[in-house]
This record gives sequence, structure tokens and C-alpha cells, in this order.
Amino acid sequence: MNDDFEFERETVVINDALRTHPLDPAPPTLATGVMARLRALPANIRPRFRLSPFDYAISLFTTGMAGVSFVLWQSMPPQVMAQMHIEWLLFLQRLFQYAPFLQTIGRG
Amino acid sequence: MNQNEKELVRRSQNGDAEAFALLVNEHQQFVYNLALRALGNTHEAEDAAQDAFVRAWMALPNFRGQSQFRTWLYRIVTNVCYNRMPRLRREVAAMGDEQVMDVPDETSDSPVEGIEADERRDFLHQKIDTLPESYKILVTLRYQQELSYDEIASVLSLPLGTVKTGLFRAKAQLRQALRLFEEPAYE
Repeated sequence: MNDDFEFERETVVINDALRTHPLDPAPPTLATGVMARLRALPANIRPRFRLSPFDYAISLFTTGMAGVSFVLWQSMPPQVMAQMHIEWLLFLQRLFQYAPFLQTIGRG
Repeated sequence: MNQNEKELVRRSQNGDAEAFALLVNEHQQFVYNLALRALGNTHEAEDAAQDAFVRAWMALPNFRGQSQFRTWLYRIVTNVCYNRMPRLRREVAAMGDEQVMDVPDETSDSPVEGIEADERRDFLHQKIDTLPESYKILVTLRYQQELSYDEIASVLSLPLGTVKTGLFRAKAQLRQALRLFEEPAYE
């Protein structure tokens, strides 16, 4: 028990020393040196926003999916379109039918 | 990252050097101290800190804000230090990730104040300065910047277990030194 207390006391003292360990001031020439180095950089290697291969892959996939969806939508037979319309209306009807029940769930 | 810093980062990404100068002013002290504790030489540390800021400027367009700006910047600083002192990378990686007792350090207790406490604190500060560089980096990130274990692991590209082991061992060394310092008082 006493050992535990001693260990805890040491931990408090060590943590305090770690937190209060003073930082050295930054040299006054540091910031000016950085800005001088930046000015010395050739204009053609100034930072520019660059897209990674992952960005290109994501945008290609998204565009591709949108394109495929559009083509599928356009090439659907009228019977299937009508069937989908009916299914949608039935879904809405069921949704409204169960609306009071859903609201009760929503309220918890 | 506060709103003001986010705005400065955004402006810097668009090439605004004045905004970047404000970021440099904000972070220069800690960046310099991190490099100093890793490299142990003031001139080398200043040069490394400047190098790190220039690299950060160049890499800013790739910063997505997924991590905090400071952790992203410290990762650059440690990489610069690793390049200048290759043995540091090996030492950090060699800390291992054995299971250590997880001692929580978020304690609200404050140590006893007084002349004796001040002497003890000064003694421990000297001991912190003599810790191996790999431990100094860890304790600086943990206790001076209050980074979480996960953030430190991300900054140093280390497994979480290695970070915990390193901090535990650093504190064990300080505990040993503290016991030696306090020994005469118990006799």
C-alpha cells in the first residue's frame, strides 16, 4: 500500500517535471531565414494544388457510375419503367400507411 | 486546429507567403525545440527547423486537413531529423513494443511546492536533458505539446505499443534518478 502511494507520488513529481521542462526560445533568425529560403525558391516549384492518383480514380469511378446509370435509365423498356413507377407508388402508400407507427418509433 | 489557423493554412496553400509567415511564427518555437532535442545542436536544430518549414511550404498543397496542422508539421520535422541523424530512426524503432504497465498520467494532483520541490524539479529537468534523443522526442511531444499516444505514433510513424513502451522507459529512467536524488533524505 505504502509502495503504491510512493509510486503515485513519484509519478506526480515526474509528470510535473516533464510538463514544466522549459522550451528554449526560437532563434530570432529562424523565421526570417525560412522566408528568405522561400523567396530563393524558383518560381516553377512554388506550391501548386496537385491531384493524387487516388483523386483521379475516385472521380473516374463516380463519373463512370453516373454515366452507366444514365445509359441504363435511357435503355429501359417502357414496361419496366411502368412497373418501377407502380412499385414506387406502392412503396409510398405503405410508407404513409405505417407513418404513425414509424413516428412512435422515432419518438422512442 | 482553430478557425484562424485553418484560414492561414488555406491561404498558404494558395501561395500566400504572408499567411505562411504567420504559421511559422506560431510554430517556430516548438519546431525548433523538437529539432534541438532530437539533434542536440543549436545550429543544426535551427537549420533543420528552417528546412522543415520549407518542406512544409512545398508539401502544403497535399495537406488535406485529415490530421491537425501541427501533427502534420511535426511529422515533417522528425523526418528531417531522421535524415540528418539516421541512427535516431533506428533508435526510435528499436524501442520495441513489449507490454508495459499503462500508468495514467492525467492526474490532477500537483506536487508539493517549496524550495525542495524546486530543486527536485530542476534536477529532473537536467535528467530530462540527458535522456536518449529518442526518449526526449517522445516526452517533448507528449508533455510539452500534449499530443495523444495515437498522434505521437502518427508523427513518428511508430506502432502505438512502441510509443507507450518508450514513454514508460523514459519515465522509468527519471524515476530511478529521482530515487537516487531523494535517497539521502530517507537516511
